[in-house]
Amino acid sequence: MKKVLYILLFSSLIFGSCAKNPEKETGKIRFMFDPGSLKFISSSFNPNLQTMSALYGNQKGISALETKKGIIGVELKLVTYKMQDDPNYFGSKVNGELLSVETVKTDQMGNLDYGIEFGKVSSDESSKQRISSILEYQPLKLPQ
Amino acid sequence: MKHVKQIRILPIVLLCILAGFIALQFFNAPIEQRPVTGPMKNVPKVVTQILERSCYDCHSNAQHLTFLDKLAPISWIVNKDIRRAREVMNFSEWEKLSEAEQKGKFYAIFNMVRAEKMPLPSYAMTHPGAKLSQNEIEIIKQFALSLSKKDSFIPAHATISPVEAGPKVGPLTTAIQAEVPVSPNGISYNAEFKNWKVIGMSTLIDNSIRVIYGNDIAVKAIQEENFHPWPDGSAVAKAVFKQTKKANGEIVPGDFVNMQYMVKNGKEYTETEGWGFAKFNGQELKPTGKTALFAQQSCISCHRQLAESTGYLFNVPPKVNSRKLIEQYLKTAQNEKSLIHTAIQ
Repeated sequence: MKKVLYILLFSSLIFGSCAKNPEKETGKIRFMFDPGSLKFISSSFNPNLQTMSALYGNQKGISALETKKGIIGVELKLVTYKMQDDPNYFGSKVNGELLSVETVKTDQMGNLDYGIEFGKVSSDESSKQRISSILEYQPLKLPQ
Repeated sequence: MKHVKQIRILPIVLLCILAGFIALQFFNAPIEQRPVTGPMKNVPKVVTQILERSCYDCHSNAQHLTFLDKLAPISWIVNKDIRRAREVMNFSEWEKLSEAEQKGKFYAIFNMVRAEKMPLPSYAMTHPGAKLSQNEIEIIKQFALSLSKKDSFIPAHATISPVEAGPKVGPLTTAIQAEVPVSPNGISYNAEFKNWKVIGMSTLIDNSIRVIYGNDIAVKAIQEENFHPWPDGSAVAKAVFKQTKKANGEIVPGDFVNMQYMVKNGKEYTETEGWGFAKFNGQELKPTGKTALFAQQSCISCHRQLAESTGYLFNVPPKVNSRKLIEQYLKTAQNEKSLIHTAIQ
């Protein structure tokens, strides 16, 4: 009887753990961008480049999106990821591997400066064009 | 001597089991019979035949149950499965769903069969005829895709409507709410989510673009892989927008569609794996659901079956970044910070 109980106990443990279906271990890690004091402004995806981006900025950066002009203190960061299939849901695409972090800041004269903080930018635009592209973003329109 | 004793006990045990089994039948209630009020229309026969064979025993009002299915205690499990299945999706009452809901359901169907979550493995084991072949799964996929052909960027990007100047914003008066909207299950719209950390972004074939925010408890849970269960108080908000195409081909968020919200409270939301669900639609933030049961009837089934590995929450950032790459980035970001710090000093 004891034997039967042991067999039942072990088989339930084995089948129980299989049923959990743990996420595949890929040796890779999850990543959430930490914007520090910057606020999330908007997102985008590029079907041609298969990338997804998130724009963060400070209050002066948000103002610069409206005026398209540099004010001293502007800080914008565009974080770009590979766009990939959602592993859990067919039909959905999500942000995947981190590709680049671009910055737009003003120098002491109030001129807008473009920089690549990390990675390689997929777009073949010039620095000037990248600044214009980043300034084209509009903050999300959420209900109050 | 010991063996003789065992042989005498065996018939008594068997008799007791038989008597117990017969007694169980007195507590056996048949599943509620319901009429077929709104069957599926405009669905190819090849698709309906697959669904009828594989899904209708639970997801319809036209069950073809075997003798064994009707015997207690098996019938208790079968009846529970049917009740739950009908709540989530009922092919005999298909017409109750809007066109968008029907489309969404077909994506859910495909995702369930692709992940081999449906038909339920326990059901498929005792009903081998219900199992789906790869070819049948492909037929369902193609039908689901065909429903979105007109408005999808996937696979045909060229069919996007022309550029719009920017998102339309509703008049300010409609956006300002006199009262905070409340879901039928008592969950209030939480405008605070705008200040939470963005944990991910996504798009869906139905022509939307989404931003997912998590509160501090949820962000910490993701960092610590603490999903089983998620800590109480975790909250995640998904803001859904229509897609707008820019001149350079990029797609950006347009009009606000809805905010989908999940909050964890293991003691309160026992029927939905500890998660409370809410959805607030349009500029008016009109709550989804007529009764508090809406989450049991529509939300949890996909979360339960397809997102179990991440504690029933979709959109946890996938494990796709190499540790080396992220460490490299963090080092660069740190250097950048210290440069700024030095410049300020």
